[in-house]
Amino acid sequence: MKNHYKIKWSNEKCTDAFNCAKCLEVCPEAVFAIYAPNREEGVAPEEYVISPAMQYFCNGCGACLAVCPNDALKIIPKS
Amino acid sequence: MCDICTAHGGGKKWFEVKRHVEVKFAKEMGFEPWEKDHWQHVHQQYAQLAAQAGDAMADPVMAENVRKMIDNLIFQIHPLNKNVTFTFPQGHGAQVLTRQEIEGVIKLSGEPYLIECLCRKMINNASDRCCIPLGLHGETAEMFPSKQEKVERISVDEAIALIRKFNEQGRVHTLAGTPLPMAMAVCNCEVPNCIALRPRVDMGFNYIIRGHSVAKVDVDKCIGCKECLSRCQFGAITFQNATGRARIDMWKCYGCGLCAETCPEKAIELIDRESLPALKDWW
Repeated sequence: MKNHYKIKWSNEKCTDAFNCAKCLEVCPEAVFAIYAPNREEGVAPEEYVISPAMQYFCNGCGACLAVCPNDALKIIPKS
Repeated sequence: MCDICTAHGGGKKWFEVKRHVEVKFAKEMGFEPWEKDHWQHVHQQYAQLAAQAGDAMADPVMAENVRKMIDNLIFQIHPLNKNVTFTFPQGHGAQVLTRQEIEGVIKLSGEPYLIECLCRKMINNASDRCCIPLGLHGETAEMFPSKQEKVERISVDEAIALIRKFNEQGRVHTLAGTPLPMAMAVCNCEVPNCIALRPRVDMGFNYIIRGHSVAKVDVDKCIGCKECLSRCQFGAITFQNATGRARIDMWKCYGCGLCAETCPEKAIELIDRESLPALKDWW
């Protein structure tokens, strides 16, 4: 198990997850996932959020930081 | 016999039993709400469970307990007794199959659909129409969130042509039981952006179990062309400079058969896992 970095994600800063989702496209370790929490019937695009679900596979390359237009995430090395 | 075949196959393999692909039988067993629930909540389950499991996996003792818990959820609860609880992936497992076996399942079902792969949409934001749900699973696929494009009903021949195309592209075919042993979706997966193969290969959760065959190199026929090396998604094939031949680590092999299909000399054969005493309990 890897687990060298922690990704601090801010849902407040990530405002248009559904249409943007650039971090998903660039991540080489497939860390991020886009999903709608608390979904029952039908879901509006605004309800989607991005979560660094598999963050313990993060290798700290910083590709997501470079593409994020809103600075919604930080990569923090684990001590 | 793998655990699923022992429990549900009745002497055959679990995906060769006709009623396990029938819409009528699935409806009789009351799986329609289960299927809808699955489509609606699969994303949440992955994102939330993965985030929680990650913290637990950092500790070796906790990691072992999490693995046991997930194995119990997938295999030890008999889904056909109707005690399936919703909103949790109870009884949702899968197995790696060869192309020939997958084609057999599609012919047996006769009702393939085509949708976008939900894993690649969720993890890579990529539109990848490669998921072939069967029967009831396809009928209920409209319950999937709005990032989904339309559900398309395709013919058996079209489905088989697609499977061959995906095989050439080097994708691993898996058959998902939702819930087991109902054979309801043919996935054409890629590591690591698959929500089932990733936990299996990198974390050891048995969402997907190994196939019924293992690949073996015929040392007399192998010419060392290295064609098979790039086909293995599990890191089981290496090239040995000393002998000038490919070597397959059969402990790592999942039995998908991609290497055997591409070999120009037919030097890789798929042998039955049951015939090898060491590997017969290695799923």
